[in-house]
Amino acid sequence: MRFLAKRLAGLVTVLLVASFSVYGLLYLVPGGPLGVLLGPRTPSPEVVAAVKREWRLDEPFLVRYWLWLTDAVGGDLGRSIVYKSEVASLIGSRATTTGLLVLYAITLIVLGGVLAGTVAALRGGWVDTALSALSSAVLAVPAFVVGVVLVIVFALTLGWFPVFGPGDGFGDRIYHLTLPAITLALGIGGYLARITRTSVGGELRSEHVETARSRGLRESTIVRRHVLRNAAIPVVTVTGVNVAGLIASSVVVENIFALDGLGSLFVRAILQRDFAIVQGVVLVLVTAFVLVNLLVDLCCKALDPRLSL
Amino acid sequence: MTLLTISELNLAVPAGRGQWRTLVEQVGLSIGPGEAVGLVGESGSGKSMTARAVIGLTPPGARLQGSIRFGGAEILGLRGRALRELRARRVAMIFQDPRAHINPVRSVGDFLTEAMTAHLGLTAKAAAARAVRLLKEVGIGDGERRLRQYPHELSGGLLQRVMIASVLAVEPELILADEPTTALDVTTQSEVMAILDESRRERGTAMLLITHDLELAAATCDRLAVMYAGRIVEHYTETPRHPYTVGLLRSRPDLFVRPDRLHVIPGRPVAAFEAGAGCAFAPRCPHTQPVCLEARPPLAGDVACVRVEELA
Amino acid sequence: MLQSSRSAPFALTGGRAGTVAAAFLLALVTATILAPVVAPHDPDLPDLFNALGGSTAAHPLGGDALGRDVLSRLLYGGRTTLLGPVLIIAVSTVLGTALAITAAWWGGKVDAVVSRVLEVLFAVPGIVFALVTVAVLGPGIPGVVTGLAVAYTPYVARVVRGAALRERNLPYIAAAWVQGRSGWAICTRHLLPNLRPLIVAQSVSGLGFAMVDLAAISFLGLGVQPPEADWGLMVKSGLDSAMRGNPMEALGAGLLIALVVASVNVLGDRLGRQS
Repeated sequence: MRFLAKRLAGLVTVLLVASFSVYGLLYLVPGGPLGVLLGPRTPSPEVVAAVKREWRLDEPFLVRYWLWLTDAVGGDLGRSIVYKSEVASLIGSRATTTGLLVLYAITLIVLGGVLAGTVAALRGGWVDTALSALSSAVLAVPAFVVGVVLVIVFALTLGWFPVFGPGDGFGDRIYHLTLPAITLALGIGGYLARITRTSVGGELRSEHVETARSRGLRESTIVRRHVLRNAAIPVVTVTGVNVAGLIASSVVVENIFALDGLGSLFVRAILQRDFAIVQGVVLVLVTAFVLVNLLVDLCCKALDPRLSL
Repeated sequence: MTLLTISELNLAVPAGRGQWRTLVEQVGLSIGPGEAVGLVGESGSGKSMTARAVIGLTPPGARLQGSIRFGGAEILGLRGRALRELRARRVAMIFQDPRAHINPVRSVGDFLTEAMTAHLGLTAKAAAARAVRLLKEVGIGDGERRLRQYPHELSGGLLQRVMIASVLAVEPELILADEPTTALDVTTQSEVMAILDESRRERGTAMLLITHDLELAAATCDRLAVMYAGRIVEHYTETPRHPYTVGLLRSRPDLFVRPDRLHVIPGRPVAAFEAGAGCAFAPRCPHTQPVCLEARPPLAGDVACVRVEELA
Repeated sequence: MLQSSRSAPFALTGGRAGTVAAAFLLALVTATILAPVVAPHDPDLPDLFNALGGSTAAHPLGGDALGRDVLSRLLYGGRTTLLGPVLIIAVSTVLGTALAITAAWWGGKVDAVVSRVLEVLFAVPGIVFALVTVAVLGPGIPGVVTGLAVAYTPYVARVVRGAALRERNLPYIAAAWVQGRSGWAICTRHLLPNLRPLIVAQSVSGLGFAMVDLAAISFLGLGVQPPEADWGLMVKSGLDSAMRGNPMEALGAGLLIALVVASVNVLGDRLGRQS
């Protein structure tokens, strides 16, 4: 319980600092917030006054930050100057695509990477060699290169998968998200396969497993109760760290496949200098990142009684 | 009628490119029911491998020859179900380092009851009750609390008692104790050894004690076998005669005599595959003669030394 | 032993994989430096007859959408693609090492503050941090390099701080202290040289990550700006070209990035094991 309280306090601190920096961004931009809001045109004094009123630019900085933060906590992230609509609803409609993509990728990573690594460690021999070679190969290729190659091979050449777009209805959506999810999953899946293989292999040779063998337990029982259970700790840690990273990589992958998720919204907002969206997306991404990390820590603590933090 | 009879045991492990490394050579040893035998030697002498061969815990790919009979039946090379049954109920092993040999992420209770529920068909509740009784027997009073704790919360001495309790739980006929006190603090060593010896005597369980400590073995065991470079060089009960055993005994500090210098055996111990053609101990022996270098001395009588009669 | 600096040069050779990787990188760097000499064409010269053209004797890898020679663009594009990560790593290594050694040397409050700051920076994924920097400074190499350099600083600082703390507690540091050496002298003459193998290994491993992130941001259109040639950008424009018939641009640039990252990782692994 104390652990949780401590972690939550840390989480709130990180979010406060992040939100403050994100809000302060607007003031670092050459021209300041007014320049950003007005864009390249030369406006009449009336327009300037109206913009200043709407964005409360006459208030002191800290007051404005406080108003913005309380609004953000209440779900109001301001209005986009390009889309002329609520940032929260813009983000909300796209978060589903990104969330689905990341979940799909996690499923592939865990099923593919962990399974492959476990099989490699338990089987050994040529299976092990083949899987090690494969995982080293996929590890070196950046996600966006994988994505482009997958598009060229499976969508353009073989025509098995659609090239772009999110699809309609759940089944079609999954179908459309398959290549993007593989793109997102491949590198980390390969890495996780390695980690799992090392971890399971290490436990198989460990002393406490020798004790279990000396007791005449079935090999299947030993693998389940002692090998996999113990090997899961580093695997969960590494999965967690990388899942958090997935959230960031999805920005790039969405752009390859023209998926209208948070990442695409983010990149477009940067190009259009639509700061309300940039702030909103960063806040959402950082929150997700921090929450995933907390979740991973909780899982590890549940798995490993030696952790007392 | 003996319980365990090892005869002409050879063990070699692959060393790559079709080469083999011999670790145990021509070892013969027997233990009667309820008897305690000490197998003494320095690290690398093959004593631990000999014990592991009894329950098939040899390194992967190891080549075993000879015979190990237990309760009249051949058990060398047992596999699958038969090997599991032997390990489950009849021969149990206590390892040197309980901290490494007990799964750190499972509770003490889990470690103690695992074998009982798997092999004795006890319910979790009955197994826990029995575990508490066993803990009390090895000198751990607040058993209920200990069962809920994790290995990292217990000291090495307590953990080794837990290991002993877990072995007593299945009531085996033979306990293989591999350096059971070496990893412990000096202050708890004798206590843990006493508990192990007492509990096994009460149950009439036989024990093979593997140790590098001659005095500990002599104090606990009915008979001793001394190993050097993969071979047994001497069997004895009271007074050793082999130059190696004599040297080992002399290199221990005596409480009552203050020597000017502690006796040391020069050189370092060798493994079986490193030994030359003659007596493996010859390069370090103070009594070496050309005859010692001709052939590996056989275990004649109870001593493997060609000069033993002259030296007596 | 007061000065236990491990002065052995960073053995890049030894082991076949390491040698191959080092040779490949050396050849590639030479080729991009000599691009004006070895490139068959002007990388920025459009040639409508070569637009999306396949492999010919004059254009071994064909042309891009504007008919510019793909091979020449790859050679020239290697310059920014390879130089960018070096800049990023140089800046983040200097910043991270300085922070780490300050924190480890002073300990106490200084260490606590530095650690907290690093913790917060860790809460933001590197690429997101870099994208935010781009949002402020505008698209282009300066913004991306600044953003990634700052984003990588905490990773360098964490590793170096751990090692510096261990090293600081070694007796030779105390011995130097007792002899009346100043903290600055001990840090620069003893601590830093002893941490050097670790820092170098860390930097080489970081190069791979920096290269992937930089190329990804260029791929998104926020890094290197057209018409400049860059591998990340070429993967992006190559995707369009691939849909219209010539996959060579995307595959060539993608393959080069993958090979460079793989080589750098092999070298990083070797150095990591040696340090």
